Amino acid sequence: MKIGIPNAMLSHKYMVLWESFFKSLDFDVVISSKTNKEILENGIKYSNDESCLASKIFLGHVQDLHGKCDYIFIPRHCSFKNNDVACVKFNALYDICNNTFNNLKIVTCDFDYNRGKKEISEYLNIGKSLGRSYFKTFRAYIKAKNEYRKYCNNKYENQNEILKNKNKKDNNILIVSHPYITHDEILGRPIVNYLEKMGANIIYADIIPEKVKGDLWSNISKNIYWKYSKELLTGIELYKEYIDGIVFISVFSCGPDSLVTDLCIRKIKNIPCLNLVLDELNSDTGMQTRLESFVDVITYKKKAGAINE
Amino acid sequence: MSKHYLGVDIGSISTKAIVMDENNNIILDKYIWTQANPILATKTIINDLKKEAEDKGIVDELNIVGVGTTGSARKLVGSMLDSQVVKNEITAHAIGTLSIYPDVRTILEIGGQDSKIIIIQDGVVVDYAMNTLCAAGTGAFLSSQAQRLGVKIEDLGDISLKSNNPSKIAAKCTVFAESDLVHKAQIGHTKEDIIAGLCKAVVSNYLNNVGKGKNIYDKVVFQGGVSKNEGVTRYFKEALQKEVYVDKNSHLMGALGVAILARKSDQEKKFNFDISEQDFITKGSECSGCSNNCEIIKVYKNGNIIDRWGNRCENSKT
Repeated sequence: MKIGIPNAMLSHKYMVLWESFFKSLDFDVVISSKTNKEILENGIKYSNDESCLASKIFLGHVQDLHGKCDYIFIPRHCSFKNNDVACVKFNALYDICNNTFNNLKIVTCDFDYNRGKKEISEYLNIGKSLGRSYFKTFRAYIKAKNEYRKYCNNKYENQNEILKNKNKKDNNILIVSHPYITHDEILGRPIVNYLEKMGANIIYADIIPEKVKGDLWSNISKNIYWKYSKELLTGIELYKEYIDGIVFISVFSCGPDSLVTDLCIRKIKNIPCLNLVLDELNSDTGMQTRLESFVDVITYKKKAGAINE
Repeated sequence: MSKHYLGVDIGSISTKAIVMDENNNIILDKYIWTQANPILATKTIINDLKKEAEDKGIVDELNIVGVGTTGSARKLVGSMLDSQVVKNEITAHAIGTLSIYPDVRTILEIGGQDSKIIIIQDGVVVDYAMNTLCAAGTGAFLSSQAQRLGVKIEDLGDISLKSNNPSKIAAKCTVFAESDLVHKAQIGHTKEDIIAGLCKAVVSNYLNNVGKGKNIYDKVVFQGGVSKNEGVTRYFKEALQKEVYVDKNSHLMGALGVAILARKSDQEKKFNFDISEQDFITKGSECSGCSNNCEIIKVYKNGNIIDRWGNRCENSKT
């Protein structure tokens, strides 16, 4: 039996976990293609106008998988430990897809800690609904969780290692945006590629260890509400001493990001910040002007600093 | 023989070009409308510069060894003119302005589609902000409103100075501003008051969006096409409670800046004025290499391809 995972939204974060979990349960895993124009256009076609671009793209990916697998995995993410919540878009994805597409078979689960639903029991439910035994599912979950933890920590250590060996002359630019924007082929990739073409070293705020001690994010503001925004702020705090500039990328019309990005730009004083908001009608020219001048600002600032020293 | 440098700034509304000598003195300058045809505008402006040089009798002394382009069509015109430097507007404007006002701290810039604020500290750009992709409160907004009122855009500033009681107009969005404007006219506001209101709205829109959260220190220089509008300058002074400098060449700063960058690039290449006799065409096509369908632009000079861009990967077949 084939389980499809849309290559969008939180899959960019949890893919390792989910893929390993389903594989250990002896399912074939089908992942939708990387985002391309066709997926984007389908996503826009199937979505409500008011949705954010990232969730529109998600629908495009579901459409891409439709018919290529037996079940599509679309979990609901609502609330987590410590009163963390996810954006309502993540609560709604299952229902939106269920109502948008005909004959769509979905595997779902409900990550809603505040309603007493623990992560492990949700995974066990998935196994049960697909006819796998309790112990097999339990072992699959533990294995997947360990792999995921290792994957996160490895990525973090790699990035840290690179950072420590960096030449001081290089421009280190921190990308602050959700993994489903940063690593999306149409949204974040072109921006990252363009910055790299201009010689910048890219550091990702979404790469953080699986567990971080203390609430680092609260150094920026104590009143952050969304789990995934907190993680990005943690990233800023972890890397702030190594970086020369921050590029915030968000998608129109993301509610949490519009608040959090604005707040960050006000609070972060000594690091140049650039805010990019992506929508469906992007022209590359406007983006390039902003990125080029941003890199210029950083470069000139560094040169001047070197002279003053 | 002394050396000269050409700087061309091709904006969405107007095209500016200057020729300067080795000491950054502008010796020729020209300002024309782009009219959505950057290739023709560039040819025209190069031709105009040549004519101006002939009129001044200095055409034989001209020895242009460096070319720089900036503005939204910088890439296209850059490959047309085979320029050494193709630079974004922010950097070009900052460098141009610094060459005239070395102690500038804040540059307010309102162009045809962009508006930006550039913060400078010790002669280095330390921060900037640009409008979002929406063109509300820029030159494009003023020119469409001028058209609606049946007034030439060049006259807006003078007319607005006659008013002491500007109407309140929302400049957040061009569509809303238009309905606001019609309404104000229908309840009897005079044209002068409405135009003054428009100028004021541009300023408040700018300060609330682009200038949001930025510390504006002296000295403040206002430039870009809209700086030619004295009404807008007046309301900037009122709102900021500061002297706002508008250079007589405020519209040429981008062109000047990029000419300076061309001089500093130390790559010399003789520039020929015969560009206006060459045949340039661009062709846009959609790549069918993958489902991204990138829009690829190719530039031809006399039928030979000289430049291409737009593809996201190496897959492009066309």
